Amino acid sequence: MRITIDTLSHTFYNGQATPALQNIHLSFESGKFVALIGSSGCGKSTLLRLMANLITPTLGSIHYNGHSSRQAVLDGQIAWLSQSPALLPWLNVEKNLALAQKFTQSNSPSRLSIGDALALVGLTAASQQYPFTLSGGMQQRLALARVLLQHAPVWLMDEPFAALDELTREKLTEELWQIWQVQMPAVFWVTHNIYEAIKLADRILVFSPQPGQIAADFQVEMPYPRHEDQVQFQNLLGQIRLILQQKELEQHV
Amino acid sequence: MSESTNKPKSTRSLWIAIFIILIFFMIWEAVVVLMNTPVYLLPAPSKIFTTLFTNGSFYAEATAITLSEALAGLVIGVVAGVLLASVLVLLPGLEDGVMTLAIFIKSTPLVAIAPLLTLWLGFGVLPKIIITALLTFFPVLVNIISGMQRVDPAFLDLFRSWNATRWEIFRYLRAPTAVPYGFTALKITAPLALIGAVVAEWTGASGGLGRVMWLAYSNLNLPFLFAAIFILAFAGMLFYRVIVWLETRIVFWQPNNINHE
Repeated sequence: MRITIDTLSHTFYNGQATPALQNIHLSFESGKFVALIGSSGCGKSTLLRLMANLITPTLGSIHYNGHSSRQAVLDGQIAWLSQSPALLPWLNVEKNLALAQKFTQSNSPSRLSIGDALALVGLTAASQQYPFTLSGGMQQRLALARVLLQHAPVWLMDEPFAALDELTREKLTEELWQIWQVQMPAVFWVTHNIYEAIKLADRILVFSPQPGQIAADFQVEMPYPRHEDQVQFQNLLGQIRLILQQKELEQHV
Repeated sequence: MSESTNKPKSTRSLWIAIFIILIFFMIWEAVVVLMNTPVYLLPAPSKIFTTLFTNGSFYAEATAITLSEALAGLVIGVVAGVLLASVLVLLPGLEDGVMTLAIFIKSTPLVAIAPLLTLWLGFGVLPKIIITALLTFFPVLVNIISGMQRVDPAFLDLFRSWNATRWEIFRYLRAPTAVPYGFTALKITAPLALIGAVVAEWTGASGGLGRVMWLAYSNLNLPFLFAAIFILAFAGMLFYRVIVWLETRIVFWQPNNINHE
């Protein structure tokens, strides 16, 4: 799966024009973990929504293997996970997954069963429970299981674990990384957390705000597992911080 | 731990409600007896209950008529409200026009329409059912529409990422989301349905509690009038309780219906 983003710009109009993204050119290979990082309002979530065809760009295009993002959604190529687990409260764990399966698996060659997906995220024992009986972490696990069932080659994840406490977030991020290595989709991961980005990503896109542009594009070639006490880790951390701080300063000048 | 804290909350609140009602009746009885109030102004509760129980079958018949009118009107109003709300949500272009008409109907005083309907359709149950349905229809329509429209955007994103059609989003997301709103509407409309039936009967009927009240009022037979009022109040409370009972079972995922143990 080759993803190309060409001269992409997006402006929101509500009374006045607010440019969110300007002139983005990017291309990605399949099976890469891409982290999108930047301050609030820098357009990283907008880029993700454009990629998921949830909004239509003002200018430019996004192609998946030469097909439009609309076609990619039609073909079930894109899995979406946001900060809200968006679990249907009237359906139990199993039925929430069954609904996802009904919508997504007709397009997918995979036959991952609901049981397998539950086992992968460690929710087998909770299969008959309703979402309101699950903790925030378990709810997000269930949302992740739904993504797994879809077996899509592209995962778009908009700060999926941001609402969770730090310990749960670390654990889930680790689990996500393990699962990613099994299915090897192209992951686009919006985050505020530079440490997480360096720990997981093959590639880190640093955004500058208003309008959103790519301030830096890092290929991370450190072997896994990565630790904060590694020199390379600290170097990269320093560079990303510096860019974010510079962009922040430019904003206020 | 004392026994009362172990009892389910609903049982305790029921006893408290009964206790308050008993106190209310006792004060009423005391005021009437002490002030020697004439029965044609305000009868004592004991007198009203005696009237009620000595004319049991008479009241049972009137109650059956009124309740069946109210229930039939309620069911028709609710079904029509839900169907129209669904159509308007599925075909949003129609909403403005239809809502204007609905508000027009809603703003018309039913007290004025009721005698007309009686004139056109006679003293039977049909005009009562129509009035009740008109009265219950609007709150259901408005509540269901807002329930279906107030879907969390995160869910819409998910369904769109699944390439769900408008009908599928309606079937799997909007309709279930609106169920709690439907119960809110029912809690408003069920007592309204009784009022609708009684008001319609008041304008002319061959039977029913409204007819009984009208006759009693004409003859200043206040114990008879109050007995009918008591039945209506009790029926209204019963309607409400049944709806709350259904709500906690059907809309079990709502935070106030979740039984934390």
